Amino acid sequence: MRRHRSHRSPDRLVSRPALRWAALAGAAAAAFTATSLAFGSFSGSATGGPMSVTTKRIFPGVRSTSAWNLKDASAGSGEVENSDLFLAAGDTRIKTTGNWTTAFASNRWLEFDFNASRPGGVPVSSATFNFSFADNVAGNTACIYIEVYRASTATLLGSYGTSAAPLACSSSSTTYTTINQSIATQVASTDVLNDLRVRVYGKESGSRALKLDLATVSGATAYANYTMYEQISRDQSTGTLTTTNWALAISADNTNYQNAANWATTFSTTRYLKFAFNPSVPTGAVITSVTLNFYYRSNTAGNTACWYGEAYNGATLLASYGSSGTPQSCNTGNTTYSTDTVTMSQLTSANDASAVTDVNNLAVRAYMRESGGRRTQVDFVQLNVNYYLD
Amino acid sequence: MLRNRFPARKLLLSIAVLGSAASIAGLGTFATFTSSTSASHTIASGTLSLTAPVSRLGTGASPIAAGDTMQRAIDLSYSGTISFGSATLTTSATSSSLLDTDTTNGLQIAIDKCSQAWTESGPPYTYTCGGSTSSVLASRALIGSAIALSNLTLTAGSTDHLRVTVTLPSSADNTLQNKSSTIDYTFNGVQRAGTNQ
Repeated sequence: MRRHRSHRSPDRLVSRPALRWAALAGAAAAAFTATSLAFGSFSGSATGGPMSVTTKRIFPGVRSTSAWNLKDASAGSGEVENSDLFLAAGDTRIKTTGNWTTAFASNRWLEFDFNASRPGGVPVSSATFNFSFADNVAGNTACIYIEVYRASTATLLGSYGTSAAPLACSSSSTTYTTINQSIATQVASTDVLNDLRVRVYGKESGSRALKLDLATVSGATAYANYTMYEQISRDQSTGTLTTTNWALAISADNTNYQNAANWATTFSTTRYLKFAFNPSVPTGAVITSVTLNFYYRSNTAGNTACWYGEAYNGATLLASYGSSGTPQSCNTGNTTYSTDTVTMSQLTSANDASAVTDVNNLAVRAYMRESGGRRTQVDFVQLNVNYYLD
Repeated sequence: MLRNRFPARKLLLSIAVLGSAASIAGLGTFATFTSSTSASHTIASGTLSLTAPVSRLGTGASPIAAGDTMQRAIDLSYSGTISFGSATLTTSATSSSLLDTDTTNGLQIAIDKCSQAWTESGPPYTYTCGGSTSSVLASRALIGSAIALSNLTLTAGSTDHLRVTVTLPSSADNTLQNKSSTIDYTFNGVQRAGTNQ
């Protein structure tokens, strides 16, 4: 079909493109005019601000830490070190594992779950897993590698070393090998730090045991250095799992601390248990409350145990809770723990200009007596500090 | 085939004519402040103005925690010869953080009005109303554009006494620690609807 576009009608006065432009212009003019008038009204405005709002560096909250450091003076003849086995290197307190195999195996490992004692949501730098071990047999060689997990979800975050290329080996039964492995890639905030598990795979050239002296995680935030201590350790070196809770860390877990020697039937200033906490409260923080949980009972049915406490910073007595004449509490029998919560109002910022220093260096002595001159069981010792940082 | 050209041209011409006619008609319809008559009376447009002679909105707060509130007073005064018909609030963050971007756990705003000037105490500022109160803006996320305000007087020559309450909800978690935002507030008023004059 032939098109007629080029055919100009004699009666056409305006070209077709001109007509199109005219139509568009008319429509646009109408739209513009209507729109302009529709929105054209008088107005006024007033401004306020600028208002700057900044939040606290650490929100108020209770941070709890167990007593990993324990010294036992129940015998009345000085303090005996009975802290958590993995608290420090070179303290002669070690754990001997079960027997390993000569090759790494996926079902042979150790695990450490760390406490959740830090304020959440705070960036963490330089998180480091500190681990000290030795072979249990002279002349043999023990090797390890590690994996880092979120404890609550058992999610693997990362690993260091492999079964083919171990992270570290020890060929001595007397000199401990210490690793300070950075796990900063996996632990970037206190949210992870408070939910941390480290698994250690091992092997031993003679299918024997390892000796463990240290298992902590240390590092820093912008506000304070910290050390995290294990509250649950698991030993599956033999392929069969054995779980050990730190005696004072978890209440009602059928694990408790029984003092080293019998108590006297009366209080003595030389007979006590001493607990330290290392809460790492940041300098400049405001402490609004401090409480101490102390759960205990006699080790002997029908007997009565009593206690009173003293709070120290070094040799300086900060406060007393009860006395030899008026104990903080007493508890009869060995089936139910006395679950004492002691308010330590003397250690708040409102009452103590050096509250942060005093709380960070706090040692609590629990003086005890037992009606039959026997031992006691302490189930739970925890310091709870409510603080914030502006 | 030739017949088809003429309807098309007529259609385009019709659109052009109708468009122009609509434009002219529209001008006549919306022309409130002009007159096309030849009468000798004078028509003058009115004026209106919105100001904030009293404002504490420039007073920030630091450091705050979850559950904290900040009360700040601001008076909106309406002047001129024409009353306002409505008012809105636009807020923006000139320095932004999770405090203003988290609409649930971040900063929230509410505005109340007092029938007389608020009685201020502090700092930190708090306010009590000796008259009656009404809600101008129910609690909502702080940042917003052209947020409608209600229960304002808006009448020329009057003043609305407002109390702005900014809250960091108790639900704010640790992700909102150590954050900082700077907020600008703009109250906009629009004239009343046109009437017969």
